[in-house]
Amino acid sequence: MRFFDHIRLLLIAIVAVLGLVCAVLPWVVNSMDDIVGRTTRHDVAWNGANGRDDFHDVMRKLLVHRLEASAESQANARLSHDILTSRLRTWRQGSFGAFVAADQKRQRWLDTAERAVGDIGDLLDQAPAPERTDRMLELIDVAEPAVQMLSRAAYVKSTRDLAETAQKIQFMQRVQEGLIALLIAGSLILVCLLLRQNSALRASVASESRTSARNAFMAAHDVLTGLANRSTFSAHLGQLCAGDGSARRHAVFVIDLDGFKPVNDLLGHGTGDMLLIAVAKRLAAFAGANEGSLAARLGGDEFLLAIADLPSADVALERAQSLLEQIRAASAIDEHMVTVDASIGIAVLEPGLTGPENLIDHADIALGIAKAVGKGQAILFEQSMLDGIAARIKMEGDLARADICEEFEPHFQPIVDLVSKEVVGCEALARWHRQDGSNVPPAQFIPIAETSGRIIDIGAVILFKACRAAAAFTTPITVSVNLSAVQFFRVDILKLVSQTLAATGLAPDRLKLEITESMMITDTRLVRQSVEALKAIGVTVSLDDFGTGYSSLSYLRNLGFDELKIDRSFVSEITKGGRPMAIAQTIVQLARNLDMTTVAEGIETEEQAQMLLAMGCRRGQGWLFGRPVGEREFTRLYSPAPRLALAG
Amino acid sequence: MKLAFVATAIAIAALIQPPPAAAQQKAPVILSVVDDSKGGQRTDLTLDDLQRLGSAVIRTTTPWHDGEQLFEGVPLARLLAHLGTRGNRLTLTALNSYMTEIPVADVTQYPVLLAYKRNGQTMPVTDKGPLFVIYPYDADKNLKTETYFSRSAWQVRSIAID
Repeated sequence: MRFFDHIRLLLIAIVAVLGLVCAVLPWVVNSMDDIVGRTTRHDVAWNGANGRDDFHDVMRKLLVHRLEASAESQANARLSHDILTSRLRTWRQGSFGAFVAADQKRQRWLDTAERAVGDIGDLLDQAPAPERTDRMLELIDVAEPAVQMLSRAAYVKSTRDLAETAQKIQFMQRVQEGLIALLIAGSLILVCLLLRQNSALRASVASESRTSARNAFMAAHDVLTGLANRSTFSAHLGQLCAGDGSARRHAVFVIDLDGFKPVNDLLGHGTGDMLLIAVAKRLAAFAGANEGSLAARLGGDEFLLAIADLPSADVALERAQSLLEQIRAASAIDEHMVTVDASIGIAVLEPGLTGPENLIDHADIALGIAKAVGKGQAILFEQSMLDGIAARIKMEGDLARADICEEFEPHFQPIVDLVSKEVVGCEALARWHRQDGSNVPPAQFIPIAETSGRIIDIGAVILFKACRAAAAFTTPITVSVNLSAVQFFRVDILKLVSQTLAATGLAPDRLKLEITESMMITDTRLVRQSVEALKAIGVTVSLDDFGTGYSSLSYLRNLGFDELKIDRSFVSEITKGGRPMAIAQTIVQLARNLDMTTVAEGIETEEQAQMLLAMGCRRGQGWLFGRPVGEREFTRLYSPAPRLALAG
Repeated sequence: MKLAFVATAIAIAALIQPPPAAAQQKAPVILSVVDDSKGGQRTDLTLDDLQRLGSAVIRTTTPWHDGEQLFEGVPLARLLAHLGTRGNRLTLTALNSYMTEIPVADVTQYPVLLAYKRNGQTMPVTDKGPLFVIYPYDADKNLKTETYFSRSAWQVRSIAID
């Protein structure tokens, strides 16, 4: 930019100089004209020379008159004398007059000449006589040197003037030449600058268009992978679908990498980025193999793929499977061989059906389900998924509007001593009695309440009501309450529990808090601190659903759980022997060795109860001992009667 | 050219010869014109003859006078029209034998005067009379050059046309 400013300044300067030269040149030429004009303006030398001729003519005529002394010779002399008189007058005036006036000597010469010529005139007026003629010739002798000197001086002055003028003309010519040279040079520079400016301009236009092309590319593409971005993808999809509404079938894949986060965490973001680039290349290659297909990056580890012209939805699934296989292939990044899996949600635009905007959303819903049912799968969107979503959205709304204190309350399931069959405790399970009279099962509302954060209020209400109920029980049985991970991480659980205990008057050693394994993986340190704090105030903490998730022995070592609950999935198969039995056996043995009590869940038969007891498990819950029932019913059934008569 | 010279020579001869006694009563001839384009036709003119052709004036400075002068005389164009000449060039001869040439084109281009009066007075020989060729020098810059000054003959006595 500065370069252009300089050039512009230079251009202006040159144009100014050219303008000045153009203005000055005519003035120079004009003044040369003036100089030349002065030289040609009536030549003084010429006038002087002619005057001398006139003078000599008079002298000649007087000599003739001296010889002839006739009237005719006198008349001739008279005429010549008149002409000389006329000449002398011009010597007094005009340019010659100025020449004479400039020098006193010249004035004296002219005075002398005039006087003598005047006297000759007087003598000529008189009758011719030889002595008068002699007198006239004497006067001629007087005048002659003066006339000669004037004539010669005029010549000398003219010559000098001429030389001076020639010098001036030469100088002016040189000025003129210089100006013309300046004019030509300026014009040449101007042309060169304009050419240069022009080419610079062309270059800048070219670079501008390169920049804008790059900007356009960057606007349309993902910076990291170079794949199209979402808006480009949408536009492409729009074109694909607008092209022909009838016979074609197009599919959208939404691809989410499984296990990308550990790669990022363990190997660093650099490796993560390179993995994303490697996956993007495979996607691009995959898209390149199908005409009209396009791969895009949605952001993070999510990608989009549009596949055009599919014969059927099944083919879309097949393609997705082969894509998954390609993604799973290990990538060599730096010195690592990195593998990553992916889940794919697929939406197919059936001929004449929903538009492209829904297509991505539908594929996204299918992806959510693919991730929910297990990683590494490709799932085709179905309309029923949309119904599930709608129901979920409705429930979210209902939950948000629900009166938690009124509508939520715990049901209690007895926990019995497998030996004595005495009810030694109960588990409080949340129930939602809606104001319209319907009941919603926990499996339906708890996941939704967890994602919306509503679980915090629900959990607090259930805890309070469970503690209040337990405190009212006539027998001092324990009450187990489930804690959600959301509660654990978002509220001060210790404060909540101690306040609740204080408000209900329940002894801390009668409260058992159940937390699930899945909480451990997120923040073990926080969990451990909370568990220790809860134990410190006398509350028991038990580990729920043991064996279903990332059962890690390190939790058991690091966290001082008091109780371990064996998941119903093991209990239900325990009588079949083999592995489930071995696992159950191991868990019980492990708990015993770690000084933990065990509670088996989902006991439905006496056989199961006997086997668990044989393994060393002392406590159990399940339909065999009693279903979850309301507070009043539980009190009626179990609380007054410490000893329970077993059904069937 | 040769013819023009002869004509001029005749004109000068006529001037130098004293006028006949019979003609002395008549007004003197101040201008003789010899027109070669009309077979050497000779016309002698007196001051009256010239004045009868009608006059014009030029107010101008000259290199031979101090200050602006008012010249009156017959326009050369009118004189030539009166003579009905078909020539292209005038050769003027003065009393002192000064000779100069004026192209006829000058006469159509500029209002050239054959002046006989300066500042209202007829001009004697002692004051460049009786006839003086005057261009309007002040009116046109081009006229203030040696070319036109040299054509401005005074004491004109004869004109040869060819």
